[in-house]
Amino acid sequence: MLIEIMLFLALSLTLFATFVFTLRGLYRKNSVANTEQLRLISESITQLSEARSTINQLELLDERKNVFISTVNHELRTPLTSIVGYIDILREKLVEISDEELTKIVDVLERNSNNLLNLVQDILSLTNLESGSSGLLKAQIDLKEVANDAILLLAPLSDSAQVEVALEVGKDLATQILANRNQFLEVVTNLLGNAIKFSKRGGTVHIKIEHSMRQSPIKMLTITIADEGIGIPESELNEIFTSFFRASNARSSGIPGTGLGLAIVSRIIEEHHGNISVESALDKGTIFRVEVPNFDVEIDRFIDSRKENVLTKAIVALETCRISELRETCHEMSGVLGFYDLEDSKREISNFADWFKGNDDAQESEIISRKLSLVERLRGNLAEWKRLKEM
Amino acid sequence: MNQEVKKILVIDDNSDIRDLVQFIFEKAGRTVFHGENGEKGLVQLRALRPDVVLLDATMPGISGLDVLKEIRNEEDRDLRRIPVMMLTANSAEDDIAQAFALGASSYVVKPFKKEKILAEVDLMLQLEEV
Repeated sequence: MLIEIMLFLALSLTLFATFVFTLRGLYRKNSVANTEQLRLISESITQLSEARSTINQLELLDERKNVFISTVNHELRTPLTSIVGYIDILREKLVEISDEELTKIVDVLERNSNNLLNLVQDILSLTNLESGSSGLLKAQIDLKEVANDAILLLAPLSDSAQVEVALEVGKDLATQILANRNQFLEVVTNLLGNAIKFSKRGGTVHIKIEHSMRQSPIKMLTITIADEGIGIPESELNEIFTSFFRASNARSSGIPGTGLGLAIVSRIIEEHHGNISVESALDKGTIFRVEVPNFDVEIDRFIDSRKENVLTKAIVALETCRISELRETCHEMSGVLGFYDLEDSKREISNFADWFKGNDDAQESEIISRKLSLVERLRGNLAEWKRLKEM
Repeated sequence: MNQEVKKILVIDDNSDIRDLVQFIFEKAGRTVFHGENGEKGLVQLRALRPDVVLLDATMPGISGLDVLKEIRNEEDRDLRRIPVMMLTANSAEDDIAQAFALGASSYVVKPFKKEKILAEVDLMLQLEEV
């Protein structure tokens, strides 16, 4: 961080010197040169503001990393407290421990050890996803099969909780998606596991796979997982995808959890160019809805011919959207472009979205001018793509 | 040491840890009461008037440090001066300094040794009696 700040200061000084020299020059030279110098000044100012925005982003990342580490520290110590504490008691044998107490102690040790193990696994999954080192290998897989596997995997849990799981798939529906099978199985088992955990005895969990109703540039599949459980308080709904967050009624219910499952789920879905949403009513139940691009051989064959069309759609969407819709449009368009392997354009949009995330209080004129230059670059990509195709 | 049985209130959202604290102190001849979150802990504090409070920092709802602030601002002089030991997994120097600045009497980081919390509580009680 220190190096970045020093670089920034050095750059600022250089630019300031250029600025002063140029200003002095302005008084001396003729107007043609003045125009050139004005252009240089404006370029320098843009560079300066870009450098500042990079530093802001780095500082934000650094802070987020520190918060993550201190939360991990806290979360790992909590189960260890019970484990270390009771081992301490058991070893010394200075106090009388009844059989009943001993059974209870072993239960606590087992529960907290499992919790600790789950935490370590979840932290590892999440950090792998965050660092992008998960080595994502995607293949055409059948979402219906994944759902069935998840139901089988969790049968012991649903049986002991006396919760029924019902799967419903639209008739003649092609349920292929382009995904990493293990990761997508993790998504479905995570959501289904939560649905079972938070269900009441005798309740039913409904899993449904169907075409997405929402208008979208590409065909999407929706998988919904709906339970009749304890629900999530409305005020906490927008926090549930945050690492280590657990809803207050989930904590007080004594049902174990790491608070990382949904963070992992939402990262995986992002990697698959999909999206996830949630609806919930306290004591009535929760519905998670995951949308992923539908993928079949037909689409695969036409994927190249549709690239131009998709990129044009993304450009128009960005050009015409309001600032209030900017974040969502960027998210959706980068998902679509990623799905069509238009990585360069996707990166352009993601960079812009990152800038916007860190500077949403920027002046409207600056947002618009940056948006326009993004659109220009995308047009460049489109032209380049057309040229390549003609060759 | 006083002859009467000392009352300890443990405020922590994790029931396993509350049970562990209860186990340790009851074997040492003290009575332990539970507060399962900050809000309920404050109600218990006013109703039971314990001799010592053991307080977790990170809890849903009112945080432990806010509970500590409330205790130190109680109307009742005796409640206001109850020894409070922070019993938390937050081990950062800043957290510790902040807790003492807010009036914590002691700070023990989880996981803890049972001798450590027994000794700390004894010390706090002895200081009270002086």
